[in-house]
This record gives sequence, structure tokens and C-alpha cells, in this order.
Amino acid sequence: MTISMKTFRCWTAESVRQTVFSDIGAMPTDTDAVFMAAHTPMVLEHLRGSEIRDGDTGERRVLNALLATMGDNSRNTLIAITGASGAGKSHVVRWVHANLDREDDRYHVLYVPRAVQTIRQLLKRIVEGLPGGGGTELMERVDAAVGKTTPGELRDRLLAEIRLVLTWTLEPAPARPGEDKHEAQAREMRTSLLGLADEQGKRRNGLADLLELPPVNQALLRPGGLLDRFTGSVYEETSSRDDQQEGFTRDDLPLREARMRRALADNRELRDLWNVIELAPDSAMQLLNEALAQAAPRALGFRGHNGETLASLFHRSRQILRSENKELVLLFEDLVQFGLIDGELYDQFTIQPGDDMAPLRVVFAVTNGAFDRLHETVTTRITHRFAVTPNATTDREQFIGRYLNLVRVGRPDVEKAWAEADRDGSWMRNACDTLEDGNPCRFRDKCHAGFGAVDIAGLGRVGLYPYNDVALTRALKGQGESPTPREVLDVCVTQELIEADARIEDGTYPHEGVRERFDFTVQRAKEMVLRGRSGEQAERLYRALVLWGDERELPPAVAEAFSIQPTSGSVISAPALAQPGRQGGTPKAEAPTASPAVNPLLPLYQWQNGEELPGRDADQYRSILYKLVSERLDLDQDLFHTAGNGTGGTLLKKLFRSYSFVIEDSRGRIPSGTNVRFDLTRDPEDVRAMIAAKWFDDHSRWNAQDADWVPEDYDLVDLMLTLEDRLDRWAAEVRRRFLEQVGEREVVRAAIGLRAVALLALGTIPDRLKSTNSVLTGKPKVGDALPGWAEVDRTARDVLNAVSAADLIANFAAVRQGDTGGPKLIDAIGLKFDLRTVVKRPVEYLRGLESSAAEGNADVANWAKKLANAVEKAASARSPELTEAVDYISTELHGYAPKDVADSAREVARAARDHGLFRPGDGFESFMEAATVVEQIPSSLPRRWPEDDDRSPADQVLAAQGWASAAINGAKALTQLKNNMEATRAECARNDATAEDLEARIRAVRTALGDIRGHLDELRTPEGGLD
Amino acid sequence: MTYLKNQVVASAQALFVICRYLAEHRDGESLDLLVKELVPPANSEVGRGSRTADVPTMLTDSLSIGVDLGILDAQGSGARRLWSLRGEYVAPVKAVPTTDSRGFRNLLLRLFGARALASVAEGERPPDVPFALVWLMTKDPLSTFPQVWDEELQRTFDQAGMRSAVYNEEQWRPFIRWARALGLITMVSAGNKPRVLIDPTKAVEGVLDELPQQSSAVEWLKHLHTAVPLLGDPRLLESLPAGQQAETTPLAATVLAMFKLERAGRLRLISSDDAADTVALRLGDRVRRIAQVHTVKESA
Repeated sequence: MTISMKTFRCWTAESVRQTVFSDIGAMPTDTDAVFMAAHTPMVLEHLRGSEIRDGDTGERRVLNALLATMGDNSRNTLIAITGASGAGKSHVVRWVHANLDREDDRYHVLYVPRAVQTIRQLLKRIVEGLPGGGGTELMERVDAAVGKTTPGELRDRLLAEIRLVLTWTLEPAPARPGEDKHEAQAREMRTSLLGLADEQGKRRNGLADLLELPPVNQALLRPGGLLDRFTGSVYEETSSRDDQQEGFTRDDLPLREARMRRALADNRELRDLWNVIELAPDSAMQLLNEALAQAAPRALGFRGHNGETLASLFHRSRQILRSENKELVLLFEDLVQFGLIDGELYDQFTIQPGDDMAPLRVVFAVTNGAFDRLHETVTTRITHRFAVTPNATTDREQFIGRYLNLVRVGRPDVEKAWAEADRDGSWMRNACDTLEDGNPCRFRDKCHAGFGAVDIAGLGRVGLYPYNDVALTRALKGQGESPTPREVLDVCVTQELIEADARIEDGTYPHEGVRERFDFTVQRAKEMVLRGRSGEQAERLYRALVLWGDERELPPAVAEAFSIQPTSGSVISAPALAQPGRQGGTPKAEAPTASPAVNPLLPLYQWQNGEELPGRDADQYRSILYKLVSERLDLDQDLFHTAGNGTGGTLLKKLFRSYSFVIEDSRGRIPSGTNVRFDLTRDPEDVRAMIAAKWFDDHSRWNAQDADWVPEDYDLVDLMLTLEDRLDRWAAEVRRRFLEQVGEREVVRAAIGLRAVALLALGTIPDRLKSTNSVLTGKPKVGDALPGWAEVDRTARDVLNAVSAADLIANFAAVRQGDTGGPKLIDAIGLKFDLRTVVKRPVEYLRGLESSAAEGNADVANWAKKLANAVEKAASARSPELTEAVDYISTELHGYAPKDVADSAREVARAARDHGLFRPGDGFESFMEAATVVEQIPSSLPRRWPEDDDRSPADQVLAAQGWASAAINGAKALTQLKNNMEATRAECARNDATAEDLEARIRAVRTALGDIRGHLDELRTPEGGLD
Repeated sequence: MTYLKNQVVASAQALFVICRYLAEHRDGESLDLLVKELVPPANSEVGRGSRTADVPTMLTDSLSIGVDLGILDAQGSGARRLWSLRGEYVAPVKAVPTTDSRGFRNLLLRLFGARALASVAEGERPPDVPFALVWLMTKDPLSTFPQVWDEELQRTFDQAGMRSAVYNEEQWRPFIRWARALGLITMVSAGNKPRVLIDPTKAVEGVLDELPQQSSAVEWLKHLHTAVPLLGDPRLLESLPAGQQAETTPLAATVLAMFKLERAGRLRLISSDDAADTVALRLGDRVRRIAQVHTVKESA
């Protein structure tokens, strides 16, 4: 019977917590077994020291280097292990410690692991670790200094000690032979900062005096400052101190604080010194660090003026060891631990061995940064330097494999095995082979086949479960390019195994957290991997297919263990990928695609999985889609021309831009409410359309022959149909919105109508505005407007300038040859509309435009409103004026034609002038001009106005503009003629003969006009005007 | 007829404008009056800048083609020659919406087909435009043609024996203008390359209402070829130069249109496992056997 791996785990979250320590500092000192059980050899770079030819590349070289000088009593040995934080430096020291033969009587080992966290613990560890006893007094002093003191008091004491060191201890440095200019300046600056010694040897007006000022004092004692951190390290356990900032910083001084000016107001020397410090504070901080190094041991009580000191303890121990012909091996997992008391330690490095002094063999780990800051007392004495690189673990699979085995075996068994082991041989058991009471795990073969296993020296084949090769690679890659072993352990072992324990049990593994931790770079579209599966379980399946199946296939064992239900068959797989550059017309991809570097779809796939689409890619997709949609709008087929920057193009651009395509989670402008908007989400259908667009843009065809790249396992025909369908729909929507904007051709008709009304307002008679062409060719009358009509006149001229009906026709109603060719034919039927109504009720028409103009017709609507307002405003005054003029003309002409009356008037006037009877005597010229005006009164002038219909006064006034000016001016001229005639007749009356003659001539003229009147009556139009 | 040589500037849009006008003026109009009504006045802003010499050419070329296609009549001669829309087309032309000329262009497409068939029936080669369109529709729609005449295109036409229909850039340009207006191609840009995509979807869509709502695929395609002969009427295919006949029918271009219309929800292509009375739709390597075609009414 086949047994199922479903929910199987061969570790527990508890075993992980007990056995995996990524931070060596967090590892208890009694865990050598656990440490060694998971140890993976590292690769170290030998940066300094004489060559070690042992063929080894790992930790053993350090051990060999250490042991190589054993017996040489003439010199100490200092070996530095350097590297980045978390790279495994401490691991190396710990390995050396675990592999030193404790039975070897050639040396005595003092081992200070990073687990030692406080200065008290550190001192205790040293005191207890040094041979020869003693140290009791020292520890009592330290306990007295620290144990009965609050952190605040200790901080203050430390500051006081710093002041004392600055005042009394530190001396100006003498000039060093060969020092350069900068070194000399630094030395002189230090002397200035120390101040001048008075007659009692006390330094005054130096940094020590500045420390007494409240602002300086407060800055140095502030929470989080160096002194605060120091006291913290005395009392509290702190975690890894690799990266801890050592030394004072600018924040520890009240630089550029106004209160310093006040504090220094009465001391000129100190004020000058402070000015210098503000300009170059680094020198002051350096001196403070120097003082602190001496002050700290004093404040902590282990450097008293009398009695035991750390130095004396070391000294005595070395003497004792020498007498026993032994050497002192010091192993420090983190030199930075010694921090503020490192001076005591470094002093030991300088004391050379001899007949009465045992040599030191020191191995210490330190970060690269801290190494660079080490005092030259140390750096000049380094014998070897080994560097741990971030990729120091040579084989990541083996590295993880050891830990997987460790957590499966569990801490109790590991320690038991370690205790019983022959250290030189293999002592760690392989859980896969022994899990069940020494028998192999029942799933071993199935598990190794499904998840894979790794061969580890000394262990044999260790299963990678719950990883497989793909998952492990992705897990490691998820930690960055060069993760440190600590980072790998934290995430890939501790976090992953703890979470997997619970998640596998309840059938929810791999969960979302796994996806976030692992590298989730994909090479294929999600839909092709999932093949139609959807829902929550599909998401988990997708994670498994990507992270364990590399988007191809999920081995049955993986599906079984993770409780993933295959939908068919025993293997969950996705279609294979395509091969680029494949010959032949088969569009469907079948083999692995091009390398990720040349697959332009990868950003899209990552975007589909929740990442942001890079701006450049987003822009490109938008641009391609915009172009493809624009090309199939086909608006020109219906005489709407949108190329270029003409009215049509401008209108389309207001509506449709590349940013109309809104790609989810990508940067870019968002279309406004008036723009067309097409959302592209991570939906498979949208992704397919984008893939298709990209492919077509790159290849300009839909077959894969000689393609630069192939859109993986997609069917090109399917991609084509997807894209074509989208483009057609999008184009239809843009087209619909565009037509909505232009109101089909209403925009053009409105512009023509508006132009017609403007021409009316400027005096064109309605009969001349019967067709589109007549409106287009119509020209406004030349001449000044009458008072009261000037605003209308101006607005109407503005309308003609601002609204180009011709441009709109050319853009929206003309056949053009090509996109940019001029209009060749006009769609006369499409533009046909009732111009008669427009000219009869022009203001009503304008108001209609104002309220119903299409969106794309805002200009027309605006101008229609302006013109209608101007007309209505002017009409109230214009209307009675016109009525009066028409009535007057009608009455005074007695039905005669204006020209006949004008001719007669001229004839009479000339006769009167010839007889010296014309009056006023100087008014003849003016009379003749008035006669001309009367003559120009149009014959079409109605006899009565306004006409009796339902049109508004404004409509009537505007429709009358063809003759209005002539009527008003004519009435005035007629008045003048009448007045002049009356005056002339009066003059005639005073001169009888001539008067009789003139009267006779006037009567003769009137008789002759009888026929004309009848003729005029016949031509009278129904509206009352004369045709 | 050699439309591409003698009526180079004629266009579907010009015929649309002319026919709409003549549909409202049933007694016919002289060329002078057509010019007066349809050509932008030179003294207006619309007409400004246009070379008046071109204007009658577009008008007269389009009128000539209209007569040749049988949609227009021309009576009389010289200045008294009157142009009119033939009676049977008045209602269809009037029914075309002002801003959607698809109906008119579909009408032209059928007239081109009918004209081509008439030529073949008389043992003549069809006019150049429909002749080249028939040939174009036999080409693989998964490939594209350049929009601008180039050596590749010249070679293609040479090898196909089609240079007599389309000889150079001056003829290629109006040819693709016709093809586009008739709904047989789509203009596309790939990268910076302007291309022509063979896609008669609009042409097929334009006659869907006239095709059976439900019929066997064989019947449906027969009706399609009757409505749009340019899409694969066997008589027209046979008129092509030797070796240029389509390898498979229905034409891949027609299949593309059917697949697209299926996606758009306008057609339902019913597959069948029964090999009898089925039609194989081939596009690229995709082959789909269908037995029936159902037309779906366009939703409002």
C-alpha cells in the first residue's frame, strides 16, 4: 500500500528554535554539538600573513595558522577574521575553538564568545578564564563601581573621569619625525584642545573646561548618546554589536546652539576655542574618544591606582603559563565586545613574550569597518588576516541541508551524539536514514525522488524537504544577490521551517508569505501556468508551480505533501515554452523560450504577479495600443479628419490620448473625466492583449517565422484574435465618443448657422443667406455701426473671426485626398439644414445652440450666447427706433419710391438754388447728401414694422438688420429734406413768381409718379416690403 | 476598366457624397451644378488653397467609376450631360446615416464584386481594383504588406503576375485606399513600420444581416460569397493568374473575419465531430471543423 506524504513533516517548529542560531552571539556557549552538527566549511581569503600551504581553504587554515607558531616563544600571534556583518566571522572563531584539542597541554585557552553580552560578564569571563587565580579584588571593585550605581550615576562618573583625563592625564603629543602638514596641524589642534597647563599642572581653557558647561554636559549625557550606550552595555544584554557605532559623533556636541554663546559670554578663550570646534569638530571628538578610552576603566573600577588591574591579571597569567611552558590562546568571537576597555587588551598584544612571559596566540573576529578603525597598536601586529566573503559557504544546498538534518535530528539527539562521538570521525546521524528508531524514514525514497536530496560529506544523502532544488534556489535568490549565511539561516531555515510546520499541517502551504520571501521571478504568464484554474486554491497552486515547479511541473510528491489537488493525472504541469527563432509557421510555442535577458515580457509577467510595471514598459504598452487604436478609428471614411493639429485632431486629442490606457499599478497620467479611459488590469485577458500588442509591434506579423522572440506558449492566432477584438472594441468606443462630441455633424451645422446670424447682425440681408455656400462666401458689410448697435457689431465680427465654419467643414464634412490634403468635395446633404428658419428667428436659433450644442461645440455655444445677449440688449432700444423710422418713411414718401423722391427733391433744390430761393442758404450741399441717403433707402423696406407675428423683438430687430441702418439714416435724411423744402417754400412765398413756378413743377413731378406707384404696389411682398 | 490608372483620385468617400446628393436630386444634375453644390467655393475659406484643377478630377473620376459600377447613370453629352443615381439605389443610399457610411461602402463592395463577375462572365479580366482585391484576399492574413510600395512588394506582385493590376506606388496607394474603404484591410503600424493587415471582418459584418441566421457552414459560406464575391467566389479565384488561386477555401482572410466575429459575439461557429458536411477553417496552423454557422443579432 502506498502511504501518503500528505501533511508530513520531519521537523517541528520547536526543534528549529532549539537548534538553529543564525547569530552566533545568540548561541549558548554549551551548544558546540549543535554548532558542529550544522557546520558547513567556509572559504576564507588569506589577505595577510605568510603563506600557509596546507591545501585547505576553510576554517582549518585559521587553526593551522594558530598552531603553526606554537613553540615559538619569541613572538605573539594575532589572527584577525574579518568580513561583513553576518558573513560568519564568529562562526570561524567558534569552529577553531571547537576544534582545538582541549587535552593539548601546550596551551591554555581563553574563549570569549559573542554570547557574552555585558562588560561585567566579559570581565568575569576573562578573570575566570585566566590561569593563576586572582581577580577577586578586581571583580569586587567592578561590582562596587557598577553594582551599587545607577546608570545615570555611572554616566556622570564616566563624564567626570573624561574631564579628569583631559585635565590631568593626556599630554600634548611631540612632533613626530617625518609628519606631514596635515599631521602637524592635527597635532597642534589637539594641543589647543587640551588647553594650557597652569602652574599646578592643571589644564585650563581646554576641552575639559568646555565639558563643564551645561549645554555640552547635557549633549554628552543625552539618551542614545555614546555615554548612554556605554552604560547600557554595562548593565543590559545587547544583541549583535557588529554594527554598533563606536566613538563620539557630532551629535554629542551642541554645535551651533545659541545657548552656547550665552554660556561662553564671559570667557573669551573658551569662546574662541568653541568657534574653532564648531568649524572642525572632528578633532574634538577624536580627543574625547582618546580620553574616554582611559576614563572608562577608571569609571568601571578595574583600573585603580593600586591593586589588581586587568593588565596585572594578564601579566601574572602569562608569567605562570610561561613557567609551565604553556602559551595563552585567546579566542574572541567579536573584538568589538571589548569596546571601551579594549585598551587594556591591546596593551597585552604589545607585550612581547620572553623567558618570563608566555606568548599570546590570538584569534579574533571583527567587522571590516571596525578593523579599519583598529588602533595601530593592533594592526601593526597582525600576523594573519583572513576574510570571510558573503558567499563563504561554498555549497548553499549543503549549507541548508545540514540545517535541515539538524532540525530533523533535534537538539537532544545531537548533543547526545556529540557527547558520545569520536570527534575525528562522523558523529552526526542522517535523519533520513534513521528517523524511525534508527530505521529510514518511511517516505525517504519518495521524498528524495520528489523533493530531491543533497550529498553531504559525513552525512550521506539528505533530503531537501520541504524544499526541492527549484524552491531552494528561489528561496536563496529571494535574499538578494549575496546574502550572508545569517540572512539565509534567518529566512530560509528558521522562518521558513517554522511557518511550514504549521502550514503544511493545515494544508495551506505554500502561503503568501513564502511568495514574498522567495524569488518570484516568472518567465511565463500566470494564465498559462494555471491553465484555467482559479480561486484561492489556484493561487496556492500557482505559488507551488512557480516556486517548486519553476512554472513547469509540480512533482506528485510535492502536490501530495502540500495537499494540492491535481485536476487531472498525477502531475500538475503547464504547457512547455516556445523556442525563439523557430522556423515554420506553427505559431504555438513548444520549447523553452529565449533567455530572460531577451524576453521582453518578463516585466509584464512580474507585473501580473503584483509588482509595479516599470514606467518605461508601461509607456511603451500605452504607446503601442494608442497607435493601433488610432489607426483603426476610420473616422476619415465618414469625412471626419483627425490627423495633425486641425480642429478634428485637436478634438480627438482632447478625448483620446496614450494615457487613456490606464495600466494598473503603473505610473503615468490618469485621464480626466472627459477623456476616454481603458483600464488594463492583471486579468489574463488584458495581459494577453498586452503581450499580443508587444509581439506585433516588434514583428509586424502574426507568424513566428524568424521571430526575435516568441511569446512563450501562447498561440499567436489566439493572441491576434484577442488583440484584434480589443482594438476593434476600443476603436468603436473612441469613435462613438468622438461622434458624440461633434454631435455627428451638428458642430458644423451650428458653425454655419452661427456665421449666418453674425452676417445678419452685420447687415447681410436674409435673402442672401439661403445656402451653405452663400453663408460661407458671405462677407460682412463695411462701415461703422449705428450708435446702440456697436456691441452687436463687434461681437458679430468676433464670431466671424473666432468660429471658422470653413475649418469645421474641412475637418468634419469634406472629402479630402489623404489625411492632410485640402477639402475637395463637401457633403452638401450632410450639411443641409433649414437656413430660412435661422435667418427668420436668429436669436431663438442662437439660444438653441447655446443650450444644445455638443460637447465638442463649446466655442460655438459660447459665441452664440454672447451674440444673443448683445442682440437682446441692443434690441430694446433699436426696436422703437426702427418702428419710428419705418412709419416716418412710409408716411412721408406717400408711397413713392425713395429714388424718385430723391430725384425730385434734387431737381427742386437745384431750381430753388438757381433762383436764390433755397433755404437755408448754406444748406444746399447737406441737402444733396440727404437726398442721396434717401435714395439709398431700400425698396424692400416694409411699410409697417414690426410685423405682426410671434417672433421676439430681438428676432425681428436682427432679421431687419439688412435695411435697419438705411431706414434709420433714411428717416433722418427725409426729415432734413422735408425741413429744407418747407423753408424753401416759405422763401418762395415771399417771391411770388418764382414760387408759383416752383409749385407748378412740384405738382408736375407728382403727377408723373402716378404710374410708378402702381408699379411698386404690384411688386409689394407679402411681408410688406418691396421686392 | 483600369481604375488605378485612369481614375486615380476617385474614392469611396467621393462617391458617397455624390450619391447622397443625387439621391435628393432624382432628375439628375449636370457637372456644373454638381461642382457648384459639392465643390468648396474657391472664394471661401474651405476652398482656399485647394487646386481647383484637382476638384473636377476627383468628381469626374468618381462619377466615371460610379457609372462603371452601375450605381450611377449618365445621360446626354457635353454640357447637357446629366448624372443621376440609379433608381434601385436611391432608397439604400438615403438610408445610410450621415456619419456612418459603412452601409454605402458595403454597397460598393458588392458592386465591385458584381462588376468583377460580369467581366469574368464575358470572358474578360475584371477591372484592376476588384481583380487585385480578389488576389489580396487569398493572401495569408497572418502576414502583412507594407503601406508604401517597395521592392518587396514589387517582387510579390511580379511573382504573382499581378503587376498588370497594380504596377507602382501611384497605383498601390489608391488600391489600398479602396481596400480600406471597402472593409477588407486594416492599417497598422508595427514599430515604426506602417503595414497593411488583411482583414475583411468589416466586409463580412456588413452583410451579416443578409446571411442565413442559422445554416450549415457550407450554405452560409455560399451565401457569403454571393453577397461578397471578392471573398472567394470560385469564378473570381479562377480568374487569377496561374498559381495564385487560394490553396484552401474558405480563404484564410475569411476565416479570420469569422473568428473575429465569433469573438465579437456576432457569429457562433458550431463545431462538429462528424466529418460529413463540415467546413475546415484554417488560419495559420489552427484548423477547426465547423458544421453550422449562426448569426447573432447585434445588441443595441
